Amino acid sequence: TMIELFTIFGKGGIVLWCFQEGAQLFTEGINNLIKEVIMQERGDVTQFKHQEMTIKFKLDNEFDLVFIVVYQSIIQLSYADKLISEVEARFRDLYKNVLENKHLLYQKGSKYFKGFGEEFDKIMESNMRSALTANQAVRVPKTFQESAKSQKTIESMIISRPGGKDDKKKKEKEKEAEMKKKKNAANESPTSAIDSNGSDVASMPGSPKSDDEDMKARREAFFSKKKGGPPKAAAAAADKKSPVPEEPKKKGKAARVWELSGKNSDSAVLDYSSSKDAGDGPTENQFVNEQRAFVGKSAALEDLRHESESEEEEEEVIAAKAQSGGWFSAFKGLVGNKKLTADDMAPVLEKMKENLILKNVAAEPADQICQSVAKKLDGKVISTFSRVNSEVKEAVRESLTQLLTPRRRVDILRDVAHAKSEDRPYVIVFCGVNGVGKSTNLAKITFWLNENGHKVLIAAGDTFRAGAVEQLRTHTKHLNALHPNSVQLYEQGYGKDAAELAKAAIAIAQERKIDVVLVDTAGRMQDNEPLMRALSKLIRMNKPDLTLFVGEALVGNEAVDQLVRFNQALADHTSPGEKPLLIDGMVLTKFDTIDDKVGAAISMTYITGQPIVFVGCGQTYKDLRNLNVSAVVNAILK
Amino acid sequence: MMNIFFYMMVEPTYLAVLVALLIVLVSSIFLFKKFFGAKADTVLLIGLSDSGKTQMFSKLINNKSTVITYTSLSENVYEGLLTPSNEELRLIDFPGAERMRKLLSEKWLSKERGSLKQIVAVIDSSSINKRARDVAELLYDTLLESNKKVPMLVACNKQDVGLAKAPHKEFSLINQSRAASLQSTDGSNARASTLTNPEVAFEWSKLPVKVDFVKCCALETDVDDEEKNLTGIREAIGI
Repeated sequence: TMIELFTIFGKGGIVLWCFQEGAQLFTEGINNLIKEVIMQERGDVTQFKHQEMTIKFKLDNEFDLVFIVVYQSIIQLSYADKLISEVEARFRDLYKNVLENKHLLYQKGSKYFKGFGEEFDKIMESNMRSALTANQAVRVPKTFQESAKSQKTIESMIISRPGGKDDKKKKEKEKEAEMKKKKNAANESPTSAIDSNGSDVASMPGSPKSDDEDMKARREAFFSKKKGGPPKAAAAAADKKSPVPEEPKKKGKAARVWELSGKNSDSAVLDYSSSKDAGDGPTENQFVNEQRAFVGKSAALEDLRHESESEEEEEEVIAAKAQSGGWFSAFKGLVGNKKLTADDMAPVLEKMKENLILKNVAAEPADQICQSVAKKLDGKVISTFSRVNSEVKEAVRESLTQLLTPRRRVDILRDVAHAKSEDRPYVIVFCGVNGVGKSTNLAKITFWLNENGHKVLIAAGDTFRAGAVEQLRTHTKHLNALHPNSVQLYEQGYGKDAAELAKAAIAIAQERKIDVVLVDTAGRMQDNEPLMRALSKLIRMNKPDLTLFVGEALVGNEAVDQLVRFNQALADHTSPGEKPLLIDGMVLTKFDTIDDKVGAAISMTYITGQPIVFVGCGQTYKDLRNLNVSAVVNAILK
Repeated sequence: MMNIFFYMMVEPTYLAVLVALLIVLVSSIFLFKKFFGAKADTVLLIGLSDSGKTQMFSKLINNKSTVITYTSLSENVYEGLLTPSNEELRLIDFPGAERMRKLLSEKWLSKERGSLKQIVAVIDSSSINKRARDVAELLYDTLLESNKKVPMLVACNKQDVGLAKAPHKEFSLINQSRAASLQSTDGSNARASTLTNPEVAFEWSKLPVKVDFVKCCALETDVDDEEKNLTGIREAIGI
């Protein structure tokens, strides 16, 4: 047959029925799909690539089922969606009674569904036959390439969602495709994993791609492109270099043609601070004295609290829930149930999307979250008593909470202790675009680490921007005034290779038994290819424990582009076969300036799938917070 | 007696007062039951992803069952697990994905804590080696967030109990890393509090709540094997 596996399981994870061609159950692939697509609220993704397999899925929210088909990616299975829908319909029809009785379902499980094999075979056969006849009809007059194209359009037609947005979307897709064409121009290789189907994870430019699998695939594509096609004029130099990644120095330096930034001799001119430093002016003393108030009190990061308003609301919600559990449920039973349909939800979701965007969530995540919620609710049975509005809001609340909850443990202090037990320093690299507050927040984090009794070495890896080193020098001085001998600065002046500098800094930290190394890097725009290459070299060479992306809370739609490009650059420049070291946490700065427009937190976590580790919210060293998930969610849904 | 009734007939205010009293009484009983009389009848299965919770869930319901499982998207709830004395228990298998952690603490460990009879933490041999810190943090947070009030059973899937007890070293470290904050902020707004006194090395026996360990093997089916048929767990949760 054409497919490898068809499996039906409950949302709880227990398989009810499955058809398998080989011995494999594709547990890893399906688990990845669940963790990285379904739990990540990837709204318009309907398929997922794992190794050579394509996995398609559908959720049934009435009976809480998941339908999954797995087939080899080289087979263009045009009827996969049709197959899933038909199997779903048949399965529901046949086993409605069993599916409604959860008690029996858990007790007997798959025993009930043994007979479904025959039904499945029938559906499969009819699908194959109709696909075959359709194919034959097409294939006679046309060449293979043309038929492949025609298949693609059919597929995209199936996937395009109903509703008024279609036209707009199509245009967007066309635009994307165009952009992609331009980008790939001559070097589109036949092995590239990219196809123009808009619903494929791997094929959406500028769309969130956090999962390692995906990254790997794209990286492979990238490399195959590099090897295969004739290099474009712009990228020619870069491409030639890449086979010898050990020495990309020249390229990195060539790009920096700023005056007063390259040479060591310039540092004297650049060192504006020296004159002031000598006298330790009164303003400085004042600053240190002000900060002194926080010493010994800031080891714990407070949760970021939002105004009491939102908390009250939360309590109300809980109260309402408690009530509905008691007397209400009796009424609910009397009133009866209704099924949520896509049409019911469309206007509500549209409004929800607007609200999300109003709260500064980037357009794409907002759209996808709403689509994902629609998928989760479609077909769900609710009592006629509850309103669609509140049902949707609750689902969005749950989705946002899930998004903001880290998908892995985040406990820097604990990991610092672990690194210490291994006799090595814990290394954090800070990266981001210009002017978002990398150095400032690096200083705040240093202060926090000092408060917790850790010694810190700051590596002045921003050897590019005038004044960057001096800024860190000033911070070091202040921090040392607050916690004597707890901070050291490692600098080599300007124009040096940041990767080598960081390496030297780590070696020194190890020698001097310093607990943590914080590596500052130059701010860079995401489209600056040579600088991005330099960053990925730094990370590849030094393998930090944590790579933090520093971003402004003010950022709107650009957040998507920035993070996607940073991550992509890191992935692209990883040597093949190695696990890519991507961004694994975010620092959200200037949080005090955004009122309730906290959407950037959502955009960023959505795109990278990584947690927001710190939130910066002010000028003093103690203005560092943990993200309070429920406060952010409440602020957004207010 | 007749007099009183007569009085009530002619004096409607009395009737009103009586009815009002009755309503207050009934509703206060209702509320009292709701808040204090909640029956602790729920057994909650927790653990990291891929540690075999769902497998164990099915097996506790039906000893002979072998199921294929994938990552759980939502919790499995089974009502009416019968104890020998014919009491009904509720068994819950909560997804291990870290993304759901917030929901776990908000829902089961705080709002519905009153209904918890026992928490069963499933630890897999593969996870204890590779992800010792993650396991420790889950156990630590669960104990802390449930306010050290719900007894915990650590079910060691396919491994020795000794290994699973090992997190006590981890616990000391977590105690310390979180206590660092306690010393500096005044207790009121301390987000991070600790399970036991951070200055003394952690021991399981120092906890005010019972934590037991039991060895099991949920993956294989053998009705006669004590480990494979989850006897220890059954005994601990009383079925």
